[in-house]
Amino acid sequence: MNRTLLVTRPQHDMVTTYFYHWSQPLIEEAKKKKLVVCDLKGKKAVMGEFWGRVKKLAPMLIFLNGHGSESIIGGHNNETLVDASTVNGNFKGSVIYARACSAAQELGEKIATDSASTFIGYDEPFVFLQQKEFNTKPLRDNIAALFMKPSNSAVLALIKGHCAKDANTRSRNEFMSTIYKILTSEATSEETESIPYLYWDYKHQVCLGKPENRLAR
Amino acid sequence: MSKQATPTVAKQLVKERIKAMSPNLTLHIGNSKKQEGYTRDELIKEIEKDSLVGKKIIAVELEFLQSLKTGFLDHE
Repeated sequence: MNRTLLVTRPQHDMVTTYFYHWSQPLIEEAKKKKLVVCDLKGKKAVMGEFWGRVKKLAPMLIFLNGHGSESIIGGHNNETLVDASTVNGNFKGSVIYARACSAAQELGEKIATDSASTFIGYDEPFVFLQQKEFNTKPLRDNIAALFMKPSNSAVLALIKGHCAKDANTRSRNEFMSTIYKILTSEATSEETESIPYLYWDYKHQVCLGKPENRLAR
Repeated sequence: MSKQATPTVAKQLVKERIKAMSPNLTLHIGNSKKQEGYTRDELIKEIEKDSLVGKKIIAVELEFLQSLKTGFLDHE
């Protein structure tokens, strides 16, 4: 297993555009930490490219962004990227973080019991709010940031060498501290309206499989 | 007194909460086909027609409201 980060970030609608842009700071951080980064972005986020890189590079960290369901995570144009029925031992001790809906239910469970890997993700839809005026500038959207920063912090912790369990805890704690900050400061109405959705993501982010898996030093 | 809100009461309660939402916001929820997300008015319509998105919004709001009752800020 090596110090490789494999990222998939399609960009074909508003959700994937937000995920695409909010993944960029993590890619830059991984490069600073001297990780090998394989970035399957836009049209490259497809099944053939993905499994080819998984088999060739055996990445220790995998960061998936896209639409999801209980058993599938999508890539470009929502075509299936990873399917629970095709996992079959192909992840060899990897830590996978999926910013996608509901995939922890079946796909995550399959990965967790398969090849001593770890899956961090959501057992219900990942929800977030955005401001309309930032459709083309997602990184400047301070409401979307309330959701993206805590979810990013799971990957950031993994890049820094924390184990999967710690990365999940740090991320969930950041969701909760974001709620605290809104409640205890002069928050805008948009920030206050975000609280139930932040709480939902906090409650439904789970870590399945080997909690001690981490990036090799 | 009932310990849980009836579906009709819950639906009305969540609708009132969503009505207070900023028109500047868009919500992205689930694997929905609506690529640009849901505005406040569209969310209210989804709740009224008992769609999957509407039901999920009710679940999100009720989970949060129930957490307040148990004091989530003290215990999480």
